[in-house]
Amino acid sequence: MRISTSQMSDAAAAAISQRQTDLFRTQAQINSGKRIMVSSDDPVGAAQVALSRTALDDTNRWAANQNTAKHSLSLTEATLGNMGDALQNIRETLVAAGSGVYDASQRASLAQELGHRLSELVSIANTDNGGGGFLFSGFKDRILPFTLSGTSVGYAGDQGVRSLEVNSGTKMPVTQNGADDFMNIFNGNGVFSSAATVANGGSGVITVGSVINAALVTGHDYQVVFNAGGTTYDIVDTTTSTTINSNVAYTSGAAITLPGIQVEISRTPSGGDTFAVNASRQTSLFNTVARGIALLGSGNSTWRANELGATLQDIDRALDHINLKRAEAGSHLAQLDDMASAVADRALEHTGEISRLEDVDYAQAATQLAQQNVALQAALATYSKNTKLNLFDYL
Amino acid sequence: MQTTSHNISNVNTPGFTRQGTIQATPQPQYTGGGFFGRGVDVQTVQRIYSSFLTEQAHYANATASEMDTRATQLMSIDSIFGTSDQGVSAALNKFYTALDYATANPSDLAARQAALSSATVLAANFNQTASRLEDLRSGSEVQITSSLSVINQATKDIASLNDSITFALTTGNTPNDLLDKRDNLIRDLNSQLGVSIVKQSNGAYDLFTGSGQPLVLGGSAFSLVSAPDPFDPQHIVIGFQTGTGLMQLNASILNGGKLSGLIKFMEQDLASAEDGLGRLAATLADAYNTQHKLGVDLSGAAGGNLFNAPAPAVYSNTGNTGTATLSASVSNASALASSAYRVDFQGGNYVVTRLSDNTKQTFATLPQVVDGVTLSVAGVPAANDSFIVQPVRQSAYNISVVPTDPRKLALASPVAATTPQSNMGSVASTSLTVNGPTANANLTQTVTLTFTGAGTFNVTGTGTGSPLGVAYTPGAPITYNGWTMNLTGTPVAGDTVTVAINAGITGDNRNGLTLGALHSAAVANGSTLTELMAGLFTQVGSNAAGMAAASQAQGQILTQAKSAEQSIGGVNLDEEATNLMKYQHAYQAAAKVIATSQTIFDTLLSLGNR
Repeated sequence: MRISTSQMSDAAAAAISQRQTDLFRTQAQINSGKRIMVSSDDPVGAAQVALSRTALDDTNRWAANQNTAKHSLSLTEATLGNMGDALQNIRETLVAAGSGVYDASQRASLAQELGHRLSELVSIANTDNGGGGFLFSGFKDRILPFTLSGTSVGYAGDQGVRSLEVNSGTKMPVTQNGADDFMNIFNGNGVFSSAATVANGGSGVITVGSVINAALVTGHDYQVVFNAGGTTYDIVDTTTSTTINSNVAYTSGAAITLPGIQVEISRTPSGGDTFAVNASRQTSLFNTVARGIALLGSGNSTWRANELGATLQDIDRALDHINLKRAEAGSHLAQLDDMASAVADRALEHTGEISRLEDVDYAQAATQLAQQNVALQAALATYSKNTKLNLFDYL
Repeated sequence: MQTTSHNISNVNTPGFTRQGTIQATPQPQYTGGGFFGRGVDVQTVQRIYSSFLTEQAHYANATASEMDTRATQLMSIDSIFGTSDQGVSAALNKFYTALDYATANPSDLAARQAALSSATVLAANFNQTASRLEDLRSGSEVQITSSLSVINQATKDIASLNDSITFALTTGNTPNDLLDKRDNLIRDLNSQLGVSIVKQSNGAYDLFTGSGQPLVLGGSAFSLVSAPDPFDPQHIVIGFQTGTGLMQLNASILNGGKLSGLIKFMEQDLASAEDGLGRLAATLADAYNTQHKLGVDLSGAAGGNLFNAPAPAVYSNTGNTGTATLSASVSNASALASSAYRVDFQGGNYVVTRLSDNTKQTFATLPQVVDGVTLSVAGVPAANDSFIVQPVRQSAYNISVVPTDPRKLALASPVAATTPQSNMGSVASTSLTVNGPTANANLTQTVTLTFTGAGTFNVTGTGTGSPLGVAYTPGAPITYNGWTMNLTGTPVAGDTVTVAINAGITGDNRNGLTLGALHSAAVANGSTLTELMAGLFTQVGSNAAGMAAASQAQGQILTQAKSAEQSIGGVNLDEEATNLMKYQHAYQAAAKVIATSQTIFDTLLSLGNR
C-alpha cells in the first residue's frame, strides 16, 4: 500500500497520543489507588460498589446503635441491680422488725430508717440516662419520673419503650419504663393476695396461701367471714356478692379452700372478723415499702403479723419482678455481644468487596505501567527513526 | 517539475490531492523517410484521486465526529456523577446515618441538628449535580450555535465554489485545486453535520442532510438557524427558516457530525441522566415527606414536609391554538419513570408519548395516570396542540429541605397506648403504628378499649363508631382512626387499653425508626433508593463506556478510510523525490541532446570556415 508522508506523521502522532493517554490513565489509577475513578471505568462494578458502600454504612449504623443500646441497657441493668439490693435491705429490716423483740420506739426508728430507704429507692428510680434525661421516664425522658410525697410515690412518665435497629431488620428495645418496672407489679403471689381487716378483734393470722389448682382459679375476690363465737366461718364471693360456703367449722391452721386456692388461718379469730382473699392487683414497689412503714407504726401486733406476711410476699414479688426485668436487659446485652461480631464480620466483608471492586491491583498496575512505558518509547523511537529516512537527504 | 514542486509544497496542506502531469507523445511528423517523433507534450495536470474513497472518508468522518462529540459529553456526565464515595451517593449515606443517630437520641438537639444539616447537604448535592448537568446543556447549546455558523459558512463557500468550478470546467480543463478545496470544505462540513452528495453533470455538488433536506443546490446555500424551543423558550431548537416558519430538525433526522452528536446528546443522554437524578430526588422527597407527616415534632405538632421538591413542569407549545392548559401532578411517586412525556391532541384523542423509549398511549379523555403522574386538562384543545410534561426533570435541581429548626424534625409518633395500674389482666400493647399515606383526621382522638371478658372488648372514642363486643385474639392487629395496635396477654373483664395523644414526645423515636427503615424499603417501583442510585451509576457509566468504545471503533474506521484515501491521493515526499530525479534526469538528458546537437551544429558550421 502507498503511504503518504502526512499519513505517516499523523499515524505516529495518533499512536503517541494514544500511548500517552494509556500511560496517564494507569498513572492516575496508581496515584489515586482506585481502579474505578468514574463509573464508565466499570459500570457494573461501580453500581456494586455503591450498593456495598450503603451496606457497609448500614453495618456502621448498626454498630453505632449497638453501642447506644449497650450503654442504655447496661445502665438499666446496673440500676435495676441497685434497686434489687436496696429492696433486699428493706426486706431484711422488715424481717428483723417482725421478730417481735422491738418495742414501739425501736419500731419507730426502724420506720424512719425505712423512710430513708424509700427515698433512696425513689432516687435510684430517678437515675438519669447520661444524655440529659431520665432512664425510667418512658418517652417523657425530660420529665422527672418519680416524686415522693410523704410515703406515696407518683409516676409522671409513660409506658414508652424506645427501640433501635441493631441489626438487619432487628429492632431491639433499649429502654425500660418506670410503669412496667416499678409501678405495675402484681401483688400477692401473682394470682391472689390475702389480708386481714384492720378492725379484727381476734388474734387470727392468715397465711399467704397457695394455688392448688390453677384451672379452678376464678379471679374473683373472696372474703372469709367469722360467725359469732369465732368457731365457724362463711366464704363470700365479693365479686358476685354470693356466699359460696357457710358455717364451715374453724380449726386453727387448717386449710381454708377456695376455688383453686387455699389459705390457712391460725390462732383465735373473733366473731365478725373478716379476712380478704383477693385476686392479685398491680401495685408499685414503693407502695409495698410504704405498707411496711405503715405496719411498723401500728400498736396492733396481730395486724402487724398479718401485714408483715403480706408485705414480705409483695417485696419478694417485687424482687422477682426486678430480677426478671434485669434478666431481660441482660439477655438483650448478651444478644448485642453476639450481634456485634456478626455485624463486624459483615462490615469486613463489605470493605473487602469494595476494595476488591474498586481498588487498583498495584502489581498489575505497575506491570501495565512498565509495558505502556515501553510502548510509548517504541512509538517515539520508531517515529524519529522513520523521519530520518528521507530521500532528499541523499540528493 | 512544476507539478512535483506543487505537490512538495502542499505536502502538509489538508485536503490536498497530489497531482500528476499527463504526458503524451504528439502526432509524429511525416516525412519521406517515415514518421518522426516530435518529442513530448503535456496533456493536462490531473488529480490522482478516487471519488469513492473520498466519499467513504467523508462518511466515516461524519459518524466519527458525532460519536466523538457524544462520547466527550457523556464522559462529562460520568465525571459529574463520579463514584459512590462522593456526591449524591455519599450524601445519601450520610443522611441515613445522621437520621439514625437522631433516632437513637431523639431529645438531643445537636443530633437533630446534624440530621437536618445532612439533609441540607444531600439537597445541595442534588442541586449541584443537577446544575452541572444543566451547565452541560447550556454549554452544548453554545456549541450548537457555533457549529451552526461553521455549517452556514461552509455551505456558502461550497455554493460559491460550485459556481467557480462549473465556470472553470467550461474551459475544458479541470480546476484541480478548486476541486480539492471543495472536497476539503465538504470534509469540514461533514465533521459538523453529515451530508449526502449528489453530483451534477456540470460539476456542481448538491448537498443534502441525512433526511434529504437541501443544504446546497448548485450556487445557492440554505442556512440553518437556531430558534427558541416552542415548548421552553429557555432552550433552543435548530431548523430551516421557511416561508411558513421554522422547519425543525431533531435527532431522528440528523445523521452524523458534531451537530447531530450534540443534539442526540441533549435529547437522549443528558435528558436520561437529568431525569434519572430527578426521579431519585422526587422519590426520596415523596417517601420521606409521607412518613415525616405521620409523625410529630418536639412541640407535639404534626410533621410537615421534610423535603420540598417541585411539582412536574408542563410546557405548552407556543403554536397551540386551543384554549387547553394541561396540568400534571405526582399521584404515585413509586411508579415514576426517568422520562419526560409529550402529549399531542390528535384526532380527538390525547396521545401521550414517553420520550425515553417513544412508547405511546392514547386516551379519549383526561385525567389519566401515566407512570404515577396524573395528567389533567382544563379548556378545549385544538387539533395538533401539543404539550411537554417533565415530571422529574427539575426535581434534583430544586430540591430543598423545609425545616430549619431541629425541633421540627418529627421523630415521635402522635399516639401512645397505655394500660392502667388498675388492670387485673396481663394485656399489654406491643406496637402501635400510624397508618399512611395520610394521617386520619381522628388519629389523636382518645380511644378506649374496655374488655368485657378474655375474648371481647367494647370500643369508645370519636371516629371509631364505638362498636361493642369486638373479638380479641392476642397478637391480631386492631385498627381504628388510622392507627394499628398489637396487643398481647390475657385481659380480665374491666381491663382497659387507652390510645391517646402522645405526651412523651421528647424520648419517642418511633417515627424516626420508620423514617430510618425507608432506606431499605422498596419505595421506587420495587427498588430501594440505593438501588436506584446504583442503577443510575450503571446507566451513566455504561452509556459513557459504550459510546467511548464505539467512538474508538469508529476512529479506527476513519483512520482506515483516511489511509485508503491517502494511499491514492496523498503526497509521499520520497516518491516526489524520485519523480524530481526522474524529471531531472530527463531534463539533463534533453539538455545533453541540445548540447550534442550544438556540438554537431558547431562542427557543421566550422566546416565552412576551412
